[in-house]
Amino acid sequence: MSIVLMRIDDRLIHGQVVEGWIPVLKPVRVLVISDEAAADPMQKQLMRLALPENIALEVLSVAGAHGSVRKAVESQERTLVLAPGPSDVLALIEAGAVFDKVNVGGLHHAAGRERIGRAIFLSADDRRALSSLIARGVRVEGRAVPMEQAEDVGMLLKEGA
Amino acid sequence: MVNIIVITHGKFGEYLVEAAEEIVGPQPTGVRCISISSRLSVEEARGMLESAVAELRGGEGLIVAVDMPGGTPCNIAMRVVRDRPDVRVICGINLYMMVTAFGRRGACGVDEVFSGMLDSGRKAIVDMRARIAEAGT
Repeated sequence: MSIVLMRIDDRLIHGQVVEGWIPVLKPVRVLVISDEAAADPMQKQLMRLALPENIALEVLSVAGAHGSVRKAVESQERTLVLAPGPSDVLALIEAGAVFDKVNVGGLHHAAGRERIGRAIFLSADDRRALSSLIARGVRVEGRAVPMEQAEDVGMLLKEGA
Repeated sequence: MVNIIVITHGKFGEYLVEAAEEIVGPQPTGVRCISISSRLSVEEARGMLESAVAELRGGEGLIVAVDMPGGTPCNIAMRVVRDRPDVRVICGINLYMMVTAFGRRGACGVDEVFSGMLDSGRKAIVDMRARIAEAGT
C-alpha cells in the first residue's frame, strides 16, 4: 500500500501540506480528489505552483478518481491523497477504495459548522460521513501537521454527541 | 534542533513568526525575535542580539534572519556574527522562508534548513499573472 497519507483538508494543497507533510512523507505524487478543483483550471495551476517541481500532481473528480486511487494503492510510488471533505472519502470507500487511516488536517470554520477539534469544524453531513468512516473500521485522526499531537476524531465525535 | 533569531525593522519579524506558526505549528523553543525601533538604540539592539546569539548558538546550528540588505537589523547582525563563522545569516525574510525553516528545523541539519530557506525565498517572489499564463499554455 503506497498511499502515505489520506488527508481531508478543505484547503487542499497549502503551506501545511507543502512544508509540513511533504518533507516528512516524501511522496512522489499528490492526488487531489475534488469535483470543484478538477473543474477549475486556475486552481489546478496554483496547486501545481505550490508543489515542488519533482512531485507529480493529478487533480480528479470523485467519480473519476477510482482508477488512480487503485493504481496508487498497488504501485510502489509514494502517493499523498487529498480530498476536501469526509463525504468525498466516504464516496471513494463506497466505490471500493480501502483506507486504514484517514487524517483530518483541516475542516475550517464556516456558518453552520460546529467545532469538535483544534482545526475541525463539522457540518451535519461531515459528522455523518466521519461516523460512517469510523463505523467501517477506519482510524480517523485530527492533525494539521506531522509535529502536532494527533486527536482521536472518534472520541471527539462521541464527546460532542 | 536548528535555532533561529529573527531581527527586523519593527514588529515585522514577530508577526512573521506568528503567521508561520499558524501554518506549521508552534515553535516553543529556539526561536527568538528582536524588533528594532526608534525606542531602542543601536547599542541596545546589538546587546540583545549578542546575548541571544550566545544563548542559542549551542544547539545544532544557528541562523540569523534579517529583512533587508543594508538595513539596521542586517548591519547589526553582520557585526555581531563577524567572528562567529558558524552562525549563518539570511536576508530578505518572507513567510515562505519562515514556514520552510519551521517545517525543517526539527528534522534537518543547519545546512539543509539554510538552503531550503534560500530556495523558498526565491520561489516566493513571482509575477503570478505571467506564471499562470505560462503554465496554461
